[in-house]
Amino acid sequence: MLILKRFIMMAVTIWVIVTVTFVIMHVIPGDPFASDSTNYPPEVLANMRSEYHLDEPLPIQYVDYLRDLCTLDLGPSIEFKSRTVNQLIADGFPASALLGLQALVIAVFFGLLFGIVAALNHNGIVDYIVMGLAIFGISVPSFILAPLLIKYFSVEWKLLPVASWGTWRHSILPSLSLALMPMAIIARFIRSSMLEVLNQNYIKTADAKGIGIVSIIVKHAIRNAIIPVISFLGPLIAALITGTFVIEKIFAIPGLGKYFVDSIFNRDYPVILGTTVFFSVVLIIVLFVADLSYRLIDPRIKLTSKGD
Amino acid sequence: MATLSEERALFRPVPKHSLDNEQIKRPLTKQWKITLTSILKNKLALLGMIILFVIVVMAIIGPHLVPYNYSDQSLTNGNIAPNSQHWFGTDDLGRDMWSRTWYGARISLTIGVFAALIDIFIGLVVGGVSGYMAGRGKIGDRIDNILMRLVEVLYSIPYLLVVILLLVIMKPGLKTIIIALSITGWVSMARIVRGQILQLKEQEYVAAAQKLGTPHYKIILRHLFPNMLGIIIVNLTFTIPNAIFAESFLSFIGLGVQAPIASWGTMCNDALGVILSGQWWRLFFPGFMISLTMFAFNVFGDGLQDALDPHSRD
Amino acid sequence: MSALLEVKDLTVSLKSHCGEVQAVRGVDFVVNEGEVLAIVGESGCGKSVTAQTIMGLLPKKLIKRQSGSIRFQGQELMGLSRSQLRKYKGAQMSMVFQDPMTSLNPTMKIGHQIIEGIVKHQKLSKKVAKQKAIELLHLVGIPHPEERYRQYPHELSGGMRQRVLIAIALSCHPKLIIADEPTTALDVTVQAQILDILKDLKTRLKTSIILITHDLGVVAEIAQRVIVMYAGKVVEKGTVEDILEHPNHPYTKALLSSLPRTDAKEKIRLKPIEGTPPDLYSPPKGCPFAPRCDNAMEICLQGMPKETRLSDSHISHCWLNDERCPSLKERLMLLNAEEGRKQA
Repeated sequence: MLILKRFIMMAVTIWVIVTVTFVIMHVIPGDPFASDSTNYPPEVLANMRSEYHLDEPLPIQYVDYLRDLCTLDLGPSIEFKSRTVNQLIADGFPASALLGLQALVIAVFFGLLFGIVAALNHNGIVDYIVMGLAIFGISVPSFILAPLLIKYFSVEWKLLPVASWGTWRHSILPSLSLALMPMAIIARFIRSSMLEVLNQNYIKTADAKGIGIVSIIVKHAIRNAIIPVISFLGPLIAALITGTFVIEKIFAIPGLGKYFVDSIFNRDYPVILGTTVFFSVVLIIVLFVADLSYRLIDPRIKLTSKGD
Repeated sequence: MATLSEERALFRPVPKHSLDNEQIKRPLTKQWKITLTSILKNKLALLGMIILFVIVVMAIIGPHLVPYNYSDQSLTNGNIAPNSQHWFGTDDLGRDMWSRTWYGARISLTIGVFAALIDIFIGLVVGGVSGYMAGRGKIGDRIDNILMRLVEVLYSIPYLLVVILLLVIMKPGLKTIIIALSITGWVSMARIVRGQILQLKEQEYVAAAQKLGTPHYKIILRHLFPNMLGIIIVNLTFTIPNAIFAESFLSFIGLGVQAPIASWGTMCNDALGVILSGQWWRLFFPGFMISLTMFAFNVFGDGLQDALDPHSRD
Repeated sequence: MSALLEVKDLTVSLKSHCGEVQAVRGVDFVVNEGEVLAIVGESGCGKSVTAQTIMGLLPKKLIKRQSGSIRFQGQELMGLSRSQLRKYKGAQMSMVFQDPMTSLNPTMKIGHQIIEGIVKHQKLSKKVAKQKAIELLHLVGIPHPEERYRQYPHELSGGMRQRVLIAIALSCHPKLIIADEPTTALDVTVQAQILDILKDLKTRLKTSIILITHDLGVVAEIAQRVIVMYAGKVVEKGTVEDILEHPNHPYTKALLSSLPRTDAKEKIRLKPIEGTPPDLYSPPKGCPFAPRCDNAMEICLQGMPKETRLSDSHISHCWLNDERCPSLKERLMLLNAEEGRKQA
C-alpha cells in the first residue's frame, strides 16, 4: 500500500535528520563548556562532561542519543542547568502552537477568500486591489511588518498591547504579522488556479445545465481549483513554523521559537539539537498528513498507484 | 442604373492567384525578441527591472556619494534623524546610514545572487544527469532513482533548520552563509530541471539527433539547454529574493554576517531595539530596501514567466 | 411541422487581445420540431459561437456586440437576463460539447453530474433523480449503470463519457439538443454508436437536434436539413439532397470534393481547397470566399451576394446566380483574356 511506503519514507527521513543533526553538532571543535571553565574547578567540569556523555567515543554517543530519542528523552539543557530540553519544549510549545494555528487559519481563510474573489472579478478593480495587496504581502517580510504594526497599533494608537502573551489581544498583531505572507501566497495561488479552472470545458457543461452560478462556482470551480493549493499546504506550514522564530522574538512571546533562538545565541547545544529534532519531526508528520489528504481529496490519484 | 459596359465590368472574372489570401501578416521574429517586447509591455515588470537596475547602480556608487564610511563611528553623532548631512540619518554608533544601507545592499545582493547561482548550478547538474540518464538502460535508471530518492529526502528536510544548524557550527560570515544557503536550496531546481528534460526528451528532434549519432554533450548543449534557459532564468528571479529573505531572517536570529560588515538583515536586527523610541530611520531604510528588492524581483519574475509561457488570456 | 427555433440576422462580435473579432455576421436559419439540422463549415467559421450564443453560454465579458433575434417556441431569447435564460438552459434546450475528455468535472461522480440538472429544473428529490439518471444511462447504452453512477469520469472511456454527456443533455427532456461536433474526438466505431443514439432520440423522443460538424458523411447519415457556414456567414442552406446532390455555392462544391465520402461509388480524387479563411478582425466587404473561389468576379470583391431562392427549400448566396452574370462559356473566355492581358 502506498501509505505504508510513504510512512517508511517518513521514518527514514526522520532518521536522516536526526543523524545529520547529531553529526553537525558533534563536529564542533572544542567544548561547549569552554566558557564555563573559569567558573568551575576542573573536576566539576569533568563531571559535567560525563553527565552529558561527552567523554565517551562518538559512536557510543550516537547510540546513546538514538536510544534516548526513542524514549523521547532529549537530554538536559546546558544553559538552564536545572531543566531538561523536554521541559522547555513542553513549556514553549503551547504558545507557539497557538500562534501558528491562529496564523494558519487567518492565512488560509482570507487567502482563499481574497484569491477566489479576485479570480471571479478578473481584471476588475477588486482583482487589482487584491493582487496589489498580495504583491505587498510577499515582498514585506514578517519581521519588518511586525515592528511597523507595533509602532502604530500599540505605541501611537494604543489599541493593542505592545508585547508578551496572555490575552487574545496579545495574539492579534503577532498572528497578523505571521499570516500576511502566507496569505498573499495562497491568494495568488488560488487565483491562478481558479482562472485556469474557469476556462475548462466542464464549466461550460455545468453552465449549460442551467444550474445557478453559485453552484457552478462552488461545486465545479472551487472544488477543482483548491486541489493544487492543498498540495502546497505542507511547505506553507513549514514556513509558518520558521516564521514563529522571529515573531516570538520581536513580540517577546514565551514560545518554543524564542527558546530556540535564545539557545542559538547561548550556544546551548542540547537545546538546539533537541528542538531542531522536535521541529523536524513535527514538520515531517505535517507534510505526511498534507500529502495524504491531497491524495484522498483528488479522486484521480489512486492510493495504491506507483510513483508520484 | 448601371450601363451595360459597367455591368460587364462588374462581372469580369478575377484570376485567383492575383488575390492574396495567405498573407502572413506578422513577420517571424526571434524568440528572445518576442520575450523582451512582452516584458516591456508589462509595465509592472518593467518597473521591477528598472528598480533592480537602480539598486545595483546605487549599491556600487552609493557609498561613494558621501564622505562617510560604513564603519566609521562617531559616538557624539549618534542617532541623528535624516538631515542634509546624513541623508538617511545615523545609527547609535554614529555611523552614516546612507553609506551603510548601500554597503548593505552589496552584501545582501551578493549573498542572494551567489547562493541562487550555486543552487541553480547544482540543481542543473543533478537534475540534468538524472533526467538524461532515466530510461537509458538499467544503469541509467539506477542513477536516476538514487538521485531522486536523495532529492525526495532532502526536500522533506526543513530547509531553514538545516541552514541554522550549519551556521551554528560554522562561524557565520559572508562565505559560510552563502554555502549554508546553497546546500539544501538546489533541490527544487533539480526537480524542475529533471521534469523539463524528461519532457524534452520525448520530442522528436532529440530522437532524431540521437539516431544520427550526435555525441551526448552536443545533444545536451544544442538541443536541451536552450529550451531550458527560460525556466532557469525564471527560477533565478524567484530564488534570489528567497535567498535575500533567508539571509535577513537569519540575521534576525543572530546568525547573519558579523559586525562591522552589515547586511540589510543585520541592520534591521540592530534597529529592533529602538523602534519604540522613535528612531524610525534605523528600521525604515534597510527594511524598505529589502521589501523593494523582493517586490522588484517578484514582479519582474512574474512578467518574465508570463512572457515565456503565454497562456491566452481571453 | 412548426418552427421550434428561429434565428434571424444573428450578429456576434467578440473581444480579443488583438481587437474585435466578428465571429458571426448576420446568420439566419430555422429548426423545426423533430428534425436534425446540420451546421457545416471549417473551424473558425462561427458555428460554435452561434451555438453558444443560442444557449447563452458566452461569457458577458467576451461579447463586444450582439444583435439579431433568437426565438424559441415564439419566445425571444436575445436580451434575456441570465436568470431568465436559466429556465431554458438544460430544461428546454441543452448542449453536448466537443471534447468528452475535458467536458466532465473530474472531481464529481458521474451520477451526481447527471442529476444536477434534474434536481434543479424538475425539483425532484435526489432519490427519484437517481432513478431517472440510471434509466438515462441505460438509454444511452451504458452497461451496468448502477456501478457507473458512482464512478468518476477518469474511470470511463472517451466513448462512454460522450454518452454520459448526452445523458446529461437529455436529463430534463429538452425539445432541442445542440451537439457541437459530438463525434470528432472519438474513434470511428464509437462514432457510429453515438450517431445511432442521436438518431434514436430523434425518432423516439421527437427531439430536434442541431448537429455541428465538418464531416459530410455524418450529415448524410442523420440530418434532414443543412446550413453551410463560411467566415461567419451562411452561404447556402437546404435539405440534405439539395446540398449533397445539387450544391450551388462554390464553397459547398469545393467542400464536397475535398472531403472523403464513405458512400462514394467510385474512386474520386480529393481536391483540397487552396488558401485559408479570411481574418475576422477585418473581414472583407465582399463575399468572404472570393479569394479562394475559382469563379471569382469583380463584383464578388465589392459586396455580399444577395439571397437566391433556388427552390422551396434551397437558398444560396452567390453572385453566380445573379441574372446579369455571364454564362460559363463567356466567363471562361473573359478569364483567358484576363490572363493573357496580365502576361503581356
